[in-house]
Amino acid sequence: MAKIGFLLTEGPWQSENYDIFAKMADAALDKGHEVQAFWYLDGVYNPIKFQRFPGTTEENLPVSKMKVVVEKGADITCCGICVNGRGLENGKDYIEGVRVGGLPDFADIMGDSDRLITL
Amino acid sequence: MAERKLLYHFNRAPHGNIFWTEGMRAATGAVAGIDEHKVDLLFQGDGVYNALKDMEETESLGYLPSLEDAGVHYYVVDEDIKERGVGAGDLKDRFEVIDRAKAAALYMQADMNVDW
Repeated sequence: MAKIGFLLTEGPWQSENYDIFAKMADAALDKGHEVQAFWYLDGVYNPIKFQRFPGTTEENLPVSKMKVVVEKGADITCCGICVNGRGLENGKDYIEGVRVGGLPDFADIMGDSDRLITL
Repeated sequence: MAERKLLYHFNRAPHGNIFWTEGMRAATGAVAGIDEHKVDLLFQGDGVYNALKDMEETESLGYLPSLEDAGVHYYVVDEDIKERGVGAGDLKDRFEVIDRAKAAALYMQADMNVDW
């Protein structure tokens, strides 16, 4: 089985890269691969648990899709400078299982993964 | 963990987004980590505008010494500068002009390609 790394730099509601990440990560995890992801720049908005949007069901919220892959074992780290730069207070409103770290974590992902996908 | 040969691609123009500065920050993080990855930077498409002599880069200047110490190369694609009416003489000295065939070879030589 492979270790697949992801870099996600886009947030929810403007780009669909979060959805592409969720679908790719979900498929990889179902096949037994490991998923390690680093969320950078506006990517750190994706795991906020209070997301709501008119006409969007709970299961279709970006954060809900993130929760699915986290519960399946995806290892997700958000850039702490990006988190606090956006007033997200060390990710206090993140779903459980998403960690706040830094660029050394991304360097580790690149060193540890067999493939890297940037979104 | 393993040391990787990384190629960071800068594809966007320098203004209207923050990918130039953040990509440089991420490159600095990659060469400074425990693994000490080998990183080179490739400027292509509208990313070539980042290489202009007069491009303001105050926010990323702090990363240059670390990248220089790490032996990072700055490559810019010749066909992309010509398509945009930019001459090689308009570029900062640290940028090496290469053709697309050489750029493609760099893609293949890298363990990982990272887009900014």
